Amino acid sequence: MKRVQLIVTGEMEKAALHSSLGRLFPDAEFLAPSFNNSFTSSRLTAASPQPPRHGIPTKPNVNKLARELIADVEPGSSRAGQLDLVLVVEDLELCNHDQPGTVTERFRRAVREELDARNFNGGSRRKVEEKLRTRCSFHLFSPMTDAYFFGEDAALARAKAKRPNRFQAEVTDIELFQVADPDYQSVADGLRPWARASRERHPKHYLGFLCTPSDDLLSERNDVQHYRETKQGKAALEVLDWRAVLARPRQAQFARAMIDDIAAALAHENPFPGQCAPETKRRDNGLLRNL
Amino acid sequence: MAFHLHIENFRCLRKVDLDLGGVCVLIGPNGSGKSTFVRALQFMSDVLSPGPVEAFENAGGGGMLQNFSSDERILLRASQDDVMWEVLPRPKGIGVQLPMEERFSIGGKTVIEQLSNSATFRFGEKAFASDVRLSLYQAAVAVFGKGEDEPISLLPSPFFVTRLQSQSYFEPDILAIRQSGSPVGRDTRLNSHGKNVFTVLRNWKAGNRIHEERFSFVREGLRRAFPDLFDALDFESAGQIVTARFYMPGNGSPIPFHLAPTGLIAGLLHLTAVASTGTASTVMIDEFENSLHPHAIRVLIDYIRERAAKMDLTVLLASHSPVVLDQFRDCPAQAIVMDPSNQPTPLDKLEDPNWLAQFSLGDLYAHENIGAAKSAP
Repeated sequence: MKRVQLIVTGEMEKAALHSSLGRLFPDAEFLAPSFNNSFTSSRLTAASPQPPRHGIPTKPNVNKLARELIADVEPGSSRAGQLDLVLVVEDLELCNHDQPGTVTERFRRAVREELDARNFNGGSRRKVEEKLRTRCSFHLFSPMTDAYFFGEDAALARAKAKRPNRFQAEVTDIELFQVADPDYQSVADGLRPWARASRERHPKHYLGFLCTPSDDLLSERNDVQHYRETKQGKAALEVLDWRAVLARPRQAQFARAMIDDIAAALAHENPFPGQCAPETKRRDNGLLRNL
Repeated sequence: MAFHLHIENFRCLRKVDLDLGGVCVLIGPNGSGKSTFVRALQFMSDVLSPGPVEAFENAGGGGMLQNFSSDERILLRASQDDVMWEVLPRPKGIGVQLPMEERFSIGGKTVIEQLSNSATFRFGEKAFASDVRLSLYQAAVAVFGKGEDEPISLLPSPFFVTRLQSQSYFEPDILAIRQSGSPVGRDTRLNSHGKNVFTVLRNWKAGNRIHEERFSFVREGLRRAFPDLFDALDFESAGQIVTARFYMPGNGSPIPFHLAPTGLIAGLLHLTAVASTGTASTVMIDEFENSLHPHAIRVLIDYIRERAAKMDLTVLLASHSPVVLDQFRDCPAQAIVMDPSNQPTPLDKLEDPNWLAQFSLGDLYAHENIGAAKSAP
């Protein structure tokens, strides 16, 4: 049985993404994901962040992610020979939604930096690079994992949505999430955790609104979260119907690129053929399977 | 809802200017004033209730209140919206001058005032007899409650009395809790060393139904934080002692708490401290991470956040743990750093949040990039 390791950056994905993808490929073993902090939660630039002004040198989260990816395939690693595929899965986030290329470039550069920092001898480095190229990938959820719940009505029910969903997946690509819901927009900024600027593009905040009971909607300010990723989000994700999510071949291109990549690594037909995101689709002779 | 805190010259705290609300973490090197900050809040709470005399006793007397490098006045002030309360203790030898200077104001206008060493306090133009055992608020309530012509409704909003009605505990005596259980009593609030924890929990479970929810909160929190270890607990009494037993999931045999892992007792104390407080009050927990596994730390903070949001609590965790600090990656404004000059500052004011977002806050702290001692590399 082939073994797949996920490296994720969210608690919900840590709790449920392996179960969710494992249902699509039941003859493979998806191991419990390992967790690292996200590097996309602020606007990225091409340059690396400035190092801290004092103290012991600290690696940015993107380098830690890259280091963990390398550690899973480097010689001497206890898991190096046991993993057939290692996927880093990161959210693109709204702040980087318009620049997936910057995100992938940042990760690519971090992998190179960490390879250099490991000081492998020539033979070991070639082996690691070969494994990175054949067994490792970097994928994005756009703008974030919760967006895909809007591709399956039952997922919203599992997330305990209490209000009618006004997002139309047949009209708008879930990866370009945008909703026009007057009730959602009518709440003043700051009155609820999801009542923030640009909320119409934020699927997680919209889910927070959908999960808010009517009697709690118009009372005075409070910070109660009715949608929590580790509870309602986990319930929605772990049995997500990817067939419904990827029903439109030209949409959800980042998620489709990931499924296509996993299917190829496991020697399966892609169950959902269609257009893959150019930034993360499979390619030959890259640093990773898809970069 | 956040409230503003202003402190001057209280022990090692030269000056504090800070908004506090929700779950916050306080970090910084040893001796930077984290515990002093927590104790300053406790002192303010104690002044309001049970009163000034007990506040000084709990603070170890008046002699050590003054900032070591300044002889300027000590000031502790809390404000929310346009309501302000301040107290200015004046150490006198090893004691303190009573009554203390204290005042409430609304919209910048003083409403009630007690001047230091004065036999009366003033409400508007009228003077009333002071009582050194009572805080100004307690004295005013006592006077107006006896039918004086000033209606009690004219008192400033008593938000401090709830907001600063703090629940805190320092250095919980886990060994004593293991060995001796809790003394029998009618307590429904955890005391500052956590010694009465089993009594409080038993009284919540068996006493007035308004406390049932508190007991359920603690039990559910322990189930989440220690899923392989804890399912339920019950209580036993012997003479003047109350102790408890816990049940593991799927195991019918109870285990006495004196055999419980230290982390489970620490989690029990944290949750009981949080549940002890009422709506819109403040909870302070020193060295939150002690004995707790990272999983338990993450779950407990998340769980306490839920309650803080629901009940408008302010929860202040003093910590050195990178794991604790990493739970604040999405809200660096809630991470308060004691800098080398003993001034607490929200992390997002010290560093660009966009820069912070590219690192693990726990890494930055562990590597002395933030919250470091003066002699950091």
